[in-house]
Amino acid sequence: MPKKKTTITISGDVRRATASVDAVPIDMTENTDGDLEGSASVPVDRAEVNASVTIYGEDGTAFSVAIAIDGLGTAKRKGRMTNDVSVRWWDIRLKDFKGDDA
Amino acid sequence: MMRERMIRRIGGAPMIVRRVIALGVGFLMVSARFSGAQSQLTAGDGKSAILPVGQAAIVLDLNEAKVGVHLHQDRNYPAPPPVPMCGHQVNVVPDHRELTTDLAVAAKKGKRSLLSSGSFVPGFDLSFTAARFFEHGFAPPAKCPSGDNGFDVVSNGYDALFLSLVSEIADRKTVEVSSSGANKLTTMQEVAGPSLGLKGGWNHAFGSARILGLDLEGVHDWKTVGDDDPSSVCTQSAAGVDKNGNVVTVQQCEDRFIGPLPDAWHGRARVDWTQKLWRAPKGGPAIGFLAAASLTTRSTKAPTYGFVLGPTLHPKDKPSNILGAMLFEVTDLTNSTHKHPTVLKMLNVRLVLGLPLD
Repeated sequence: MPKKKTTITISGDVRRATASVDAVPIDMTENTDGDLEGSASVPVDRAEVNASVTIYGEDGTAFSVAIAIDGLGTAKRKGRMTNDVSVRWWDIRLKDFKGDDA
Repeated sequence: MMRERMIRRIGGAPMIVRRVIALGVGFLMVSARFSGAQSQLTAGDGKSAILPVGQAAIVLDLNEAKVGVHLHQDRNYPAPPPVPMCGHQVNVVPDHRELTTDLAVAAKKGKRSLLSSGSFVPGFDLSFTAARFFEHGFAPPAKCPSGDNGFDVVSNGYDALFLSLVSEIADRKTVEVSSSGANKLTTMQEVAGPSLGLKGGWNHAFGSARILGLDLEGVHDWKTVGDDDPSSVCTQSAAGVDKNGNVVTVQQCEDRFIGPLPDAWHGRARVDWTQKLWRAPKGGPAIGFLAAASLTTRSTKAPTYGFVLGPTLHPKDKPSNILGAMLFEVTDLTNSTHKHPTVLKMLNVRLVLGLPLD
């Protein structure tokens, strides 16, 4: 079964972050831009793919998340930690990839 | 994730001119990887609690000139199983370890000058640090949101244990005067003064922006100068009488320590606290503060006590980095060394200025 590549990129001054695709954790490493990036492969005939991210920051941290699947598009999320928020968790489904929705 | 940091230190008024004339040179730290690199801010007779920054920095200090490299490696331990929360399987950040290497050509006030009268003075600091971070995840939200949009919560912080191997070697100019004989023989030489020791500590992060740090350090110093300042040693190169009959001498002077230099042990205990106090609206710059207290014991001298307190400025969108700080340092509070008889002589103000490179 051919597969497509899912890429998750997290940018911002986040303290730590982790991500998973279809509930399988993926290794996030620093790319050349200084962002955290990880990828996984998914079968092309999948009707739905779940990607989730957990971000640890601190008050004032601005960050953005981009999840892209080859040939399907990119979903984007943005956020900022506040005094009462230092962890952000997102669950983003394949349906979100029908165009950018930042 | 690269930034520049410059540190300038200004002492009491009589010292300002001398310190401004002396050019401080930087401390270059190159962070090898992102993901919450930990670095340390030098202040108050030691280093602060481990601050969560991952950055390159240049530190300029008119008293403690340094040029160096900071290398950092961060590795996650195996991810813990997802935690069920609000009907989802939520990943939590795994524990991780960090290995750092710091190599710096350094200078200390009057003891080791990176540049002395235009000539380079060798000496360096080298340390290896291993830290183990225990992440404590986060508490579930008070009310689970509907839908799949996720949720925001507060971190439970982390604990970190670290162990450092610290070493230093400095080239120091000494002068020794023999204690016997009619014409006392004076010997001037350059002596390498190495030191080697261990430092262990613990950091606890309460939530995301308050960090408590404790550390203990034990170091053996060979041919140490301790807290001593050098003396001005002059060699007479010519002498004569002017037309008025006044004796004129020509001397060449330089700073030297009185030898022979002893071997000694020193130990240090230190506690730090860092916290963010206020942030400008819309995620603007933040104001925080750093406070620290230290006790230093030497096998050859009485203990000394030091304190640091001051505001820190953190840039917009980069809360874990320091844009600037003004740290008020009190060294030798009890005047154990008999060199700080007044408050002005105990007090230093250290300015930290940061310029982002990215």
